[in-house]
Amino acid sequence: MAPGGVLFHQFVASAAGAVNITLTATDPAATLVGLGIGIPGGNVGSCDLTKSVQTRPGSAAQLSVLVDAGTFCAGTFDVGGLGTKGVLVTYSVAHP
Amino acid sequence: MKSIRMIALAASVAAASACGGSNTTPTTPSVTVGPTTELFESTLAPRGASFFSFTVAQTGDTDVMLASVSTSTAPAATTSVVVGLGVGTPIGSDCSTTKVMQATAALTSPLVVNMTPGIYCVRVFDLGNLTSTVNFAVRIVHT
Repeated sequence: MAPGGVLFHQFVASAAGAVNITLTATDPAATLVGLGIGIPGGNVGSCDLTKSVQTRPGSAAQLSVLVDAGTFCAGTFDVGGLGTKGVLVTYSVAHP
Repeated sequence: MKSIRMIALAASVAAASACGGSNTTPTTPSVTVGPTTELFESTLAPRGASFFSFTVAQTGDTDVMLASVSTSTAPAATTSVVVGLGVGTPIGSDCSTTKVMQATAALTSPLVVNMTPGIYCVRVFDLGNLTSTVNFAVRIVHT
């Protein structure tokens, strides 16, 4: 993810339930980034965010929300602290 | 010669089918239309309102989800401000709501309304909580 950038992807929840998003790793390690979830739309990164947090990588989900069935988007964004080389992020999205 | 025989056979089968038909009344096949998802994105000013019209093709539930409210289009600008959310029918240049509620952005549908075919609208309005204009996105799933 580049400085000032976003990195979102879409996923489909086949039923209503909980979505858990975990930022598992960053390189450089322990980088503070934004983590968010929303629906595909016209905002930055083509994702209209519903909920977001600023977090560092860990093993437990940093963001958990309930969703209806449908198409959603989730991902990371720079909160202002990235160096010129950006950051490599790894996150997982567990959904119904 | 072979092709001529095949044409003759086909013609006789068609004639037999026509003669053997029963006197049934033609029926119009029913068509089930899948849910339609629409996205209503706009801005909401303090003391303002905004609405979006959509057409329900057949009787069924309509789900209305206030999916996003943000102070700008930047990803970190999400807000949990409470706004008004309603459904109703378009009237003039506004939306006459029949069901309203207070809502914050969430990915579940707080408004589920059974609707018959017709034109309806979703209205988002300030309850007095806004101090500046916000962006919002509403997902509408209807039949």
